[in-house]
Amino acid sequence: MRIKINVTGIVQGVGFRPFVYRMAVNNGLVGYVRNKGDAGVEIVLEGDAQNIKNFMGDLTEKKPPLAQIDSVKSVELSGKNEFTNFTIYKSSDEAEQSGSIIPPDIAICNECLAELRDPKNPRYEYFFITCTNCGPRFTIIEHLPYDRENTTMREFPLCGFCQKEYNDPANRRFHAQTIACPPCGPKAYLTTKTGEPISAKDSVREAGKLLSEGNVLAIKGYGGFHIASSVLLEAPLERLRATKHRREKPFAIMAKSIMTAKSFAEVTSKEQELLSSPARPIVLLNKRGNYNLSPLVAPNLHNVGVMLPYTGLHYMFFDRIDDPAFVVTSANPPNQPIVKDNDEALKTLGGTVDYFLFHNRNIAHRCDDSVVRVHGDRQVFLRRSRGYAPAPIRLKSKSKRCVVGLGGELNNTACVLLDDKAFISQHIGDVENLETRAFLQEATNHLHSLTNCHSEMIVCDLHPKFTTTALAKEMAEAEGSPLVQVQHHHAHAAALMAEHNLEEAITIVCDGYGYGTDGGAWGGEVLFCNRESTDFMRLGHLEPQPLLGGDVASRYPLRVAAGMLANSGVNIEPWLKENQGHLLYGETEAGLILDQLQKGIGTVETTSCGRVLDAVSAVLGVCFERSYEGEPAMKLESAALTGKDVLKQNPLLHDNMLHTSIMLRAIFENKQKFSKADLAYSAHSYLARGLAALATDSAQEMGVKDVGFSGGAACNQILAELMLKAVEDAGLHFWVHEAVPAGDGGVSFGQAVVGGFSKF
Amino acid sequence: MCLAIPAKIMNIDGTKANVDFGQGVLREVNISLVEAKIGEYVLVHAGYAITVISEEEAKETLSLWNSVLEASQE
Amino acid sequence: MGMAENLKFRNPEMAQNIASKIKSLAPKAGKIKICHVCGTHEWTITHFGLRSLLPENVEVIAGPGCPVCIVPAVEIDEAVQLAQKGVVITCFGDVLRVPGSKMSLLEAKATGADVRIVYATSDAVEMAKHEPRKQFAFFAVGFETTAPSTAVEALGNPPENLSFLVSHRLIPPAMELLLGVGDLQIDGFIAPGHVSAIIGLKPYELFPRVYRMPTVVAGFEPIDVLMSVYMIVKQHVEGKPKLENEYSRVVKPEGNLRALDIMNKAFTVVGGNWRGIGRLPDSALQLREFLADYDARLKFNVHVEQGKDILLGCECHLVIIGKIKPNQCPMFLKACTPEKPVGACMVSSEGTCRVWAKNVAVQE
Repeated sequence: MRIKINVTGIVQGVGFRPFVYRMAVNNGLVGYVRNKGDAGVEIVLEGDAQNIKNFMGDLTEKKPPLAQIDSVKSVELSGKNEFTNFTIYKSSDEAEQSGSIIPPDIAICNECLAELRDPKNPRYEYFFITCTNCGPRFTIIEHLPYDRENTTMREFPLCGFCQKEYNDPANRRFHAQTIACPPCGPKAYLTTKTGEPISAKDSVREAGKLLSEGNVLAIKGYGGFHIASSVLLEAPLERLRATKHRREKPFAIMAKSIMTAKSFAEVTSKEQELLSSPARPIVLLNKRGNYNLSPLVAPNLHNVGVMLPYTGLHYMFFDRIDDPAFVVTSANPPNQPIVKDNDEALKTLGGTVDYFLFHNRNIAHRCDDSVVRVHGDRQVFLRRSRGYAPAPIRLKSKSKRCVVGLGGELNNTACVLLDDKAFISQHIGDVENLETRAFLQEATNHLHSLTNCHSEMIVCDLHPKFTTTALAKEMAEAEGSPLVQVQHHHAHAAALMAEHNLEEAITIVCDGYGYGTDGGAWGGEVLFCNRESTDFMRLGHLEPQPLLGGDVASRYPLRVAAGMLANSGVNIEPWLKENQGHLLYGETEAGLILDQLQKGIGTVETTSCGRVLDAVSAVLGVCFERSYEGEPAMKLESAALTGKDVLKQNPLLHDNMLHTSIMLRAIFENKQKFSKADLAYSAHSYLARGLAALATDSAQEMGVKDVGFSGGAACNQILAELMLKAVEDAGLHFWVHEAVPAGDGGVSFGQAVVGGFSKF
Repeated sequence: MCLAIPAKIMNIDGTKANVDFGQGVLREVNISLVEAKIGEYVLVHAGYAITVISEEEAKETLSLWNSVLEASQE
Repeated sequence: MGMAENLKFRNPEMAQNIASKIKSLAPKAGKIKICHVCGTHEWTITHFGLRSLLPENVEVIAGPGCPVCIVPAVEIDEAVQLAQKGVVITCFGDVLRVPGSKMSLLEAKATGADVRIVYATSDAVEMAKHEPRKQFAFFAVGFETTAPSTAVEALGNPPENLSFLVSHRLIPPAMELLLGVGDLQIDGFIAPGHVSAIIGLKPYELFPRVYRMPTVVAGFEPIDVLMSVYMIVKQHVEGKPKLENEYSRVVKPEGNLRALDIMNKAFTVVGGNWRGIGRLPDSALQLREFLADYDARLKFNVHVEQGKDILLGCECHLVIIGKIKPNQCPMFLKACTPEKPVGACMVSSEGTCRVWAKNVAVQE
């Protein structure tokens, strides 16, 4: 019997071909296997029918750990005895199927780690040790099919020893495309800040020593450069903050091991699982009571972002020193994509760092680290990038067409939706300038070519002035494809529904800002959406509040607070004067604000939940200036963690609006009576219960069983937990994100879903 | 820790010197506690050179050991 | 010079050679207990498994070789009090988690005190210069290897907003104390290599002369330590206790005269408290009168009551003087681990318990 099998899914870059080889040989079959240009694998087998049957069983049951098989289509061929043995054929460029993709970058596996530490192993202390089950993939693959010469490893021809292992079916590295060893593989080297090489024999460990001594280093990883420094010494951290113009935004750290992470942070079993996973994301961990890292690492927050080493290089940094961790933050000039090339790094980072640890393998596609937190035992994505992208989100229903979503503006990603798979790009960033726009374009094109699909429709945000909107219009015109614009919060809701295969749901969407269908500034919404419609119903929202000074109010939450308090009849003059030191222009500005309030000028109205949290933060003195996105609200959450609801206010619902002025007024008037923690928690409680009530009231009226929570504020654990309780108490089902970020990183996915599932 | 690798003095500026621990990276140490010249090796402890080591003395150690071992007649 | 040379000092053949020489001498020796007083010596011994190379009757124990571990709780309390008064405390990393009577500096930091780790003493000076409106105090801990650097900075016209909280200790008095501990029965000393680089050989002369104690100054490579054990066993067998210098490549008989001179200029020798040991006369350093303005205790009028050195259940006081081994403490690697240390011996990288926790795989 002779058959041809086409396998799709994540089947390149996962050790599939050597696996197929072994299974074929074990089952006494002849023929070939080869990679295809569409990221799929083609197998032709000749042999006994029973053996072929056994092979098919082995194919799915014994597949390599990183492989994901979507479909196995086989067709019987005529003819026989064409093959005498089983071989791995040269890859074919042919691209017939769509929807397969190469894997994300995978952290070093335990076998390679053991070999790294084994003095008898030829790859002992070779920091770029990899195998068929681990190593860089997405970031080094330039195009398909997956073969060394189509990756940036092509510049490292195999030495005799590696070639032998590569050719040996019994060897663990049989057909491993990223195989390398100290003589023939990529090398790491130290240089001064101006790029002069330093002749260190043990450059990686020396880099670790330099870090522990207080130097700031730029280190090239898988997806781009990181800047690293000590977590214990103040001086390098102060320098880092000064040069990155980043006074308060927390830095992520890389801990030496789980054990060391546990010495300064709490690690639950779910968090441990995430930390040690092949994706090796940054996980936000709660600081322990005896947290002894410098306060400059994660200022004024109850948690710190920790990741574990993900390559041999990172493990070896820690070898000769005592430091429990290092700050490892992405190296990018403000608002620019992460730096990935050596010369780019020298130019842009030479002024910031003391030394560089380079390696000479090119990064084909930049990719930031992922960030996750855990609520209970549930993972919550803050950023889905290295280790996850571009592996698809699998939906339980099929899209009607192939669609691409370009996202919104902040924390952006792009998404290609094909059938039941959504391929989300790596983190792009804030698409506000040329460089990030170009990155978005490049990432989108790359997704299309990797999956071998062509979008029939382009989806973007409703906002007329977003760079992504302009880009979408250009693309639509160039390709003659229809363009659909989806309201920001609708996209969030659609993303949540698609994740959980809901046909309709009422979703509470809370974030800082999204352009509303009325052109207004939305951000605290209760929407009813149906999967097959591009329309949605705005069932309710937060009370519109004035943003005095427009955008400036986002930066200085005192202004939001002033507007809201004035709205509720409070004479804010004495309080504002008392706090004028926190305004950029002090007394003058306080006067201006009072003026604006009186005259009702220079204000924009918003229903944003984020701004309400900001206002509470300012009133409680937790945060007066937003130096990074979400700062006042994040710090408010940290403050609220040890609190309890002391106000127990009944949410005021009127006209399908949750009134928030009276809540802020209550906080303001009780400032001396209760602790910051308790008042902060009370504010969270009011919002959660109020919004849940808006949603459940409507749900009960409309006979909808499912209520969801999305938008950036859904990353707030207190809000999510309180809403869960309120919704479940009402007898309804509560949904939150698990596979996709609740924040703006998930917007492209939501957009694509609206475009893909709607009936036009 | 007291484990120390001798560091070679590459240049001197008053009480400070830049030394090389053999990895090509220059580090600044305080040499107030020793009298050392460029090219000489010093032992460094927490940022201060505490003594000068001479190559001859290092060689002598090995012969010292050998003589101690040989001297033990049973 | 450099690493290649050092590797000679780790030559396994040489090690086996010395080990067998020790073994052949051992039967003539009876039971010998050799004591060292340096955390790094314990590190070398445990890391390279040197005890397994020695015959059964030759034992090497670890005395008070960790300058951080022996800082008494009362002096940690002084630092905490200073920190709570708003003085910025700078110190080396190890000191942060050493328990005081109520809290460690780390715990003080968690409640709002400004405590910062520095890599070198000069960094503490730079920091103070950088923020002239704050008061800084450098918590100076260490034996004679570190004391000279404090002296250099104290004598170097430090900024007015800097002062020193001096907790330096001298090793020879502690060694002498050990000889008085009845049930220790020490038969020989391995003297610390880098302390000796500073103080030379003279301070140890009394050990062979008065106490008939073989004493060998040793370096830190495994061969150094093995050789010193051999030299002590040989002296013991020959019945001729003397003072020998195994680490002659680094230690001169007169020590580092310049460093000694600087130390003498800056400090007087006074009695000092040692955690786990108690008061030893002439074992601590204090800034001289003309430097009183830089003495943090005087400048800020620091007064604390005598505190508890050893927490309930902790056996650091026995580990520090070598009466028990870390694995004989019931809390070792159970309630007391490097990640969650209870006593000082597990906090510092030179503490015997921490060295064991990190270097010894399985102990009976």
